[in-house]
Amino acid sequence: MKKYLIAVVYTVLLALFTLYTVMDTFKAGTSTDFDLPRTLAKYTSTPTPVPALTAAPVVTATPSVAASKSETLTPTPTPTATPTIEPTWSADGYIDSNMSVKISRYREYESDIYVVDAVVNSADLLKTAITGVNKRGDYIWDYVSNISNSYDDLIISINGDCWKHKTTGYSIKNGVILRDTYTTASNGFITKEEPRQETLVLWADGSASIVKEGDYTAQELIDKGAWQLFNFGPALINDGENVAKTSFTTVDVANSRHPRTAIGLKDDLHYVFIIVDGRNGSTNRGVTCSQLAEFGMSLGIKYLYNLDGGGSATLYFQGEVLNKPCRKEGKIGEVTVTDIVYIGY
Amino acid sequence: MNRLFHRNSFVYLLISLFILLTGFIYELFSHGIYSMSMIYAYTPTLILGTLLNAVLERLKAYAPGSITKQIWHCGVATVTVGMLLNGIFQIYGTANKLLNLYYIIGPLLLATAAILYLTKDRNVKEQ
Repeated sequence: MKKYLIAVVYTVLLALFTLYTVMDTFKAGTSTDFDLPRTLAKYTSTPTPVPALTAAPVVTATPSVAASKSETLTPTPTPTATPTIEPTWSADGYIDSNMSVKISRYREYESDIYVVDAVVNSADLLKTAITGVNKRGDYIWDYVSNISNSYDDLIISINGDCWKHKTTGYSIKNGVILRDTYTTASNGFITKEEPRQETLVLWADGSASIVKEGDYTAQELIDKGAWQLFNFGPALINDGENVAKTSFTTVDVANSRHPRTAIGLKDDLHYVFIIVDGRNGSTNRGVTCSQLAEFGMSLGIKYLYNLDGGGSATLYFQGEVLNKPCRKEGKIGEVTVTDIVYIGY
Repeated sequence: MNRLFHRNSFVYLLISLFILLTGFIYELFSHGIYSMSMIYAYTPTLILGTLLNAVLERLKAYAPGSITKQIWHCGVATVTVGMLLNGIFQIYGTANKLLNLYYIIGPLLLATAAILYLTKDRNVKEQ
């Protein structure tokens, strides 16, 4: 024993350190608000069209975002208009003067699919939130439900593009550039067919575009009015055209069936979230990216972009997770992420 | 024939095969998400263990001393555990800066053992 003292002591230390690292990695965090701005205050020239709500109630209030022309970022939540319709919650939606949120359930591709239609009267009602950092400066990973609970005025949320999962690639959240480097091959949906990472930009005027990194710098996108930039991919629908490739030669995960989360746009200021359950035997098989694009086309979606899926695919509404997140086959339960997308004030 | 090198080479080969199999099984259930770190986690034990010992045996090199040997094993173990852990984290979709320590301490231990071996801590050349 004494002969191998160094090895024995070191093995014990290595095991303990490994255990600590695992626990440190997989524990859910608690600090969530990273003080991203929540209004379009810095977009001084933002047009503020009032959308036609597809749901029954009629919007009477005009958004007041344009009146706020401060050049500084304002992290304090600022309602965009004084509601004149009483906020009304139901099992499948929410409505007030500034937004209409409707959740629809579908059964397609042997999977439960949730579609959220959110019609808002200002682009800053669609927000992202990221987790805070720990003492070492690592971003904390937390459940969508935990992050969502940190926001009192959150109506509905989904997981985002898990921006800290990657170390490269543009990232813009609530008008703030979090990263401005190009995506590298190991970090994104870069394929032989498409060597530049496709991102989804949601503009401050409520429109959307699929933008490839390198077309503009992150700062140029901000200058043009980018409110959110999602960086995961691949793009599924671009300007009404199904752009999902039938095969991603270097990205097998796109071709196989998994739980999915996608974000899209039906019309200006009409956002769509799609959450597909999967990895649960024949109950929910999940979808390929091509199937997801096909489904989006059937709904008349103009822009659709694949976000972080797999076990991360989560839809949170009224204090509960509506779908069945599944990281491992048949094992239902949320996994931790670093950001969410939500509709709220 | 140097029995130590021969035995070490064989043990490292078994460990390499075990890690290769573990990585393969893990990748089977990773839903198509691959990690190079997990796939190649068997290489440190194969190269720094099996192959190195085989080469030293063939060269009829001096056997390392006990301390050198232990430090070397610790270095190989650290790098291997780091790669496996990194693979698990990548497949899960997360990361941790603490992993960098494996890639710093592991090579440091290997370098220390190499220096010790080349300078003083080695046994009499076995025939």
